[in-house]
Amino acid sequence: MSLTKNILTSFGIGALLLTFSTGCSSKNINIIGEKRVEITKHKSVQEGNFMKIMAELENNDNDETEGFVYQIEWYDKNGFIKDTTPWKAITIHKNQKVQVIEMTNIPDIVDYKIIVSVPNK
Amino acid sequence: MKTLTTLCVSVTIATILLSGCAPKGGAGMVGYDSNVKYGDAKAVETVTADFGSTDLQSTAEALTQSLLESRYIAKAQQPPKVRLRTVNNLTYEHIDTKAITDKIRIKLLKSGQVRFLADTANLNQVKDERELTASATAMKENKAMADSDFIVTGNVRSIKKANDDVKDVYYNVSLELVNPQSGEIVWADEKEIRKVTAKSSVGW
Repeated sequence: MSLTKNILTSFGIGALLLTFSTGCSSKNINIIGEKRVEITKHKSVQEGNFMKIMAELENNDNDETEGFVYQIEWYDKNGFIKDTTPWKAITIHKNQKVQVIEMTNIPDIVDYKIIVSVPNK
Repeated sequence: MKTLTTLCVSVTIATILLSGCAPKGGAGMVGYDSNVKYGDAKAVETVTADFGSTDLQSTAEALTQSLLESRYIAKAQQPPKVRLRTVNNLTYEHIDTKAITDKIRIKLLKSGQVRFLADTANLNQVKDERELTASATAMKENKAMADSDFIVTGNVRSIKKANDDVKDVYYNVSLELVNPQSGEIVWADEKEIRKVTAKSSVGW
């Protein structure tokens, strides 16, 4: 019983560490509508004064090509929205991944949120 | 009993009359129940396949990002002085190319990485810029106004094709950053847009 508990605890800690190490935080993601698209990973880097982000979007449907839109919100150190990208249309074929890269045009951005809006079928 | 009935009827009539006169909506709203509604200015618009707000926004966004990453802007000791020149519309439709460059200018100014000189709308070639600088050298007070480090020029092109089932429109917006003294093109990039309209159904 104790051994089982230890194994489960180890798995739990491992899962937590894995979550933190990948840097994928759910606070940076908001999927509106049907969850037919997944953000498999995302990260940010600083390019001079500007934040640049990369996100990998996956359509894990075996049958359907997905057309949807996404937008990035850029936040300053106070948590205020300083800018947003325009909504951008993107199409991902079935079982495919697409990498999107966006960079803010204004300095002093410290955080971001990726918003994906999937239309209802 | 009669008094009570009269009172009830009066209250009902008064309610109907008052609600009929009061405008719908609330404070700060006019024409609340009209067909006009405000929408998201940054939403993807696919009303027609013509060059639209989404194309304008995505073009400005992409080319500004690219320009900010170019070493002549990103690695500059101090923000270079840039002048926007004409972006030529080589398509068969009316496209306000100044809207594209104005939007790029706003974004670049917000970045703090670039300074802009006022437009010289009638001078749209590098040769003109060189002549302007040369003539202004003699007039010291005009030198700063004329002496741009770079100019931005470009073109918008389109290719349209259609058959019985599909209409395809391809837009290409290209910009160049040119050193007016040397004539050297130090940066160039393009934004490509494809819009496909299925004649049986509209969508993307």
